[in-house]
Amino acid sequence: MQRATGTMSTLVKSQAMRRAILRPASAVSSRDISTATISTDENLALLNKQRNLRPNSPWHIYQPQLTSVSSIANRATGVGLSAGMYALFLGHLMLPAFGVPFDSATIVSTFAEFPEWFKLSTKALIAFPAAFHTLNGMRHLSWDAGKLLDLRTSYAAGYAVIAASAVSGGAIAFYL
Amino acid sequence: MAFLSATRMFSRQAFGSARGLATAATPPAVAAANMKRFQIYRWNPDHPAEKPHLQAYDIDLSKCGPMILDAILKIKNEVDPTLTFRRSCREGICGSCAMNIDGVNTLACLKRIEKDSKKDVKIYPLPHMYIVKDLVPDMTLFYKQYKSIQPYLQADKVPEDGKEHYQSKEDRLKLDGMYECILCACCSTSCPSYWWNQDAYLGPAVLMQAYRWIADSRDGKTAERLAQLENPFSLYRCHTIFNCSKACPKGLNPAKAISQLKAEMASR
Repeated sequence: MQRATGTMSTLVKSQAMRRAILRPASAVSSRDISTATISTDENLALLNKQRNLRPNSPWHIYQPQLTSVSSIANRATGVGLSAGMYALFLGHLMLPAFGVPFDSATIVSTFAEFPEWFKLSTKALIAFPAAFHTLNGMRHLSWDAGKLLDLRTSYAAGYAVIAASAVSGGAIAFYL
Repeated sequence: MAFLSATRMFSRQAFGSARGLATAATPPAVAAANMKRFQIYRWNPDHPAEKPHLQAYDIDLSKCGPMILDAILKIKNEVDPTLTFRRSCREGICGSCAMNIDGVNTLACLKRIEKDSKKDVKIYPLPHMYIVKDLVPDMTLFYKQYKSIQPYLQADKVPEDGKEHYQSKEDRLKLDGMYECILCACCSTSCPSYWWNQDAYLGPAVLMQAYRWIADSRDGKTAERLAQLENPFSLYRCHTIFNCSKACPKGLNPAKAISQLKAEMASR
């Protein structure tokens, strides 16, 4: 009997406690909660103040993939080859005016004098980028024509371009 | 008699453990702890001067669900309740939990945790986005760009029976692979072009939806939709880098849609 009463009172107590916390809105007095009202403009100003402090999430953590690496390599080789071509053409144009002989015959004869390792590395430095840029350029053009646009075919073509440019670049550097 | 006892024996074997009969009970084998370290990007707007940093959490994979979302929910529930991220459906259809996991943009609820304990998992928010808190990016610009292409049917004529815009099966097939987009932004935030020109370039997700409405035979505003893209930035910052199709967690192909969009622009 006593145990029963004890259980009853704790039950009543816990119910009362719950009622004290979970009261209907009508029973909660306005002194319990405080809010501040701000206008739409103030709201936007606050948001923009917060936005000014937000950091930009890192992009360099993105995994290098065949997609992005072949694309940036295409751009880099394109810029490099263009710069070399401009240097060559401008040299042909300008340097003879300054007394420096710069024509095909002079270039060939001067180049032939250099040590073997220098000749090979210079040729490789030009051959591999040129081969890659040309072959990847063809992959790019087929995309523009609507071909190879699936992930699988694009990747297969990408690997083929890398393999082919290694082979042809090597062939140009070593045998031409 | 023997037959009866045999069936009784058989039933005890089959149902004995389930009904808690007094057979020799072996305690359930305790799974070996398989601890994996999660490095998670943290930034608190309440302390904005503190630079964003990686915080490490060690989780027992034997007591965790198989997906990354299970792990970060476990961290939030048991270790650090302040870890903040978006999530909803936990089945790869809402697009809320898009984040950069181990360098690749994907949905946390679809990305399985690699069991290899020796490698840490690195979890970053979507790249090159302004961060509200921890793994929550500010998607406002992304949604604005989506709204700008008017992603709703604009039919130029009322159907004959006044009820439904009819469409052939072939025309409906053209929309497959584009209508399934959940706008998670994994593709757009994987595009380096979108990183550098976020304010002017629309990004693969929005462009694929632009093409979804152009390809829709029921839509009559194709000319206007194409005209909207006639500038150096909205469409033509795409250089076919192809990161978008690689990143899409739903297996869609934004790169192909953009290529078809460029073809439409060329022949308009």
